[in-house]
Amino acid sequence: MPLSLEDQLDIMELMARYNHAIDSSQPEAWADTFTEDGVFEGSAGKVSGREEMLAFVRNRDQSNPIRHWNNNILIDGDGDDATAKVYLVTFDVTGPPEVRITGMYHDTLKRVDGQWKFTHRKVRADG
Amino acid sequence: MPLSVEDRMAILALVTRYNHAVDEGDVDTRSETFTEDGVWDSDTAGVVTSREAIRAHAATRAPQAHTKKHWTNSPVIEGDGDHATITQYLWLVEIVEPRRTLMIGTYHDTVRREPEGWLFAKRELRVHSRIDY
Repeated sequence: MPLSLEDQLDIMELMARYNHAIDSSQPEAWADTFTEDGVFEGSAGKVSGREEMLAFVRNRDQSNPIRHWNNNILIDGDGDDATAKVYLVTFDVTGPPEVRITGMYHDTLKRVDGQWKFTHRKVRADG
Repeated sequence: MPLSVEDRMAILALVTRYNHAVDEGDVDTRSETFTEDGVWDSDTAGVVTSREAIRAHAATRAPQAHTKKHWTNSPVIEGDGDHATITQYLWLVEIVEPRRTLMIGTYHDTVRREPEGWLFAKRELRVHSRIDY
């Protein structure tokens, strides 16, 4: 069954929740955007499972706060499974606001107990 | 009752309507995105209470409107029935030379369903980073 409009809105909102959670350093809220066995692959390596995810946010360097922005959210899916490709911009908000990086997320998602979550989220900086 | 897809799209459209109105210096449309008792509380303008007061405030800002644009991102909507909150980021960018990023902030909005549709009961803008402009 193709994704409904509500599924598509829910997935876009999941990405927004992820941004607010990581930018405000909220470990639980960030881990909640992944399934229990979810995997995040970033520039610093791979983080998998809830405990590693909570630790990842707690131990993150918070001396240079940024804001994550998404655009061109391209979602494909069927039933309880989806994939997405998403543009990313981060803004540096330590001093005068400036673009820090641009990049791309490659996501796989699953509906668990009625809620969409990331099973795998990989980010690659452009260039 | 949880928010329907129509409600969520209408709330996103309210935000978009506000962005276009403020950037076009459209004082009436900007103030009419608020309820009659609406509150505009920002780190840059202070607290302005009531649609009429917001209209008067908007009129003082309208002459500079065409020098910048409001971009919003990452909206999270929560609510049910006739009430909701929406949290989202703001990027305020200068559209005349030297085309700088003026501000990054977060809107914390409360919206309410009125006979004419979803409107802002309260907008709070918290600034994370800005330059003098």
